Amino acid sequence: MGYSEFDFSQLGVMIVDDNRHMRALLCSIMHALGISRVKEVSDGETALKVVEEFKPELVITDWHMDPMNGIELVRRLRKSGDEATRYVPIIMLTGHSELARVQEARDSGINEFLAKPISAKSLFTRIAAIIENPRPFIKTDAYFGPDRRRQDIGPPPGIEERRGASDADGDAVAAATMSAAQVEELLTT
Amino acid sequence: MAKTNFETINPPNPLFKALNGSGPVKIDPRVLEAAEAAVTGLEADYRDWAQQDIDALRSLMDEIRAAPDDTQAKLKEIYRHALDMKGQGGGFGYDLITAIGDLLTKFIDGKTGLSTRDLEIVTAHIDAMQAVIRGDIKGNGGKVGSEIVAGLRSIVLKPAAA
Repeated sequence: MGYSEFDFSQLGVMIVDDNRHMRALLCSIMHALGISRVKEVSDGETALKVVEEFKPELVITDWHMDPMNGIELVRRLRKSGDEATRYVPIIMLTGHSELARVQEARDSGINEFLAKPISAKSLFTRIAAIIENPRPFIKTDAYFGPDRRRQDIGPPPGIEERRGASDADGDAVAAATMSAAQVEELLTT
Repeated sequence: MAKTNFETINPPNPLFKALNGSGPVKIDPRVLEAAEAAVTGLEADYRDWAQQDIDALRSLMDEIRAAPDDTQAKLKEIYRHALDMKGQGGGFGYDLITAIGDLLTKFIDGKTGLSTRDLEIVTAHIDAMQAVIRGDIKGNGGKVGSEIVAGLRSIVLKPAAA
């Protein structure tokens, strides 16, 4: 059986972070991965203005920004009238690693969460996860975004029965709160 | 029982463009090595970036001391710089900066003003970060690093003098 390889050269990535040093770091990693089409913006509002024109295959966003933060940006992207924008994969990076913050990010509609400080390997791992383990999008009255459960356990039939699926949700959160070091350890074992 | 509207959608994944071939994914270690080298190449810049954050923190503290009744916006800025330092240090091998930044963000989070003692505590955190950068202390800093973190924890926990 043959193997697949990653070739990131055809991808466009939008980096949204108000810290220029962080943007420089992320741009360097993107270029080293072979991604040449990289757009840097410093806040959510600017990102919304240019996203449909730039058409990224991936958005990497920080949480804390003014005038529009990363959570609000994700919500707006998921409500976009443009289909490509509505479904664009999103990785959220943040200095916050508390469980409540992770859950808030997850409920906004992100694909992956990565607590800073990041490493090249941890970021690569998150990108690879979206490619290798894609999750369907879920649309309910209260949520639109990637399935927050990482296990394919079929469509939940109702709220009462969904409560029984909380363990799967917990697994997703546990995975999302792993430190960069833990992810690296997993990747190398 | 109330029913919830629920729809599963399988949209095209634009990142599939990056998949070349079929079958299990084989990762070329050279790609990761190149990305890690890119981060290493920025380590020299990082010390300048950290110093800029430290300088900004000191300026904000001076402003708060000069106008103690107008601290809310400045506290938000202090929190932002501390969060940036927490989020960057470890990525460049300065794990102590991340640890101290974590302590500082937790200390400031939720505060609407700074007492005289709070000012001393924040200043101690800034001084500690300055010591790490000036001494180019990488990793967890060993015994010195443990003492720095333990010292900061103890002054945060120490009851205020009556």
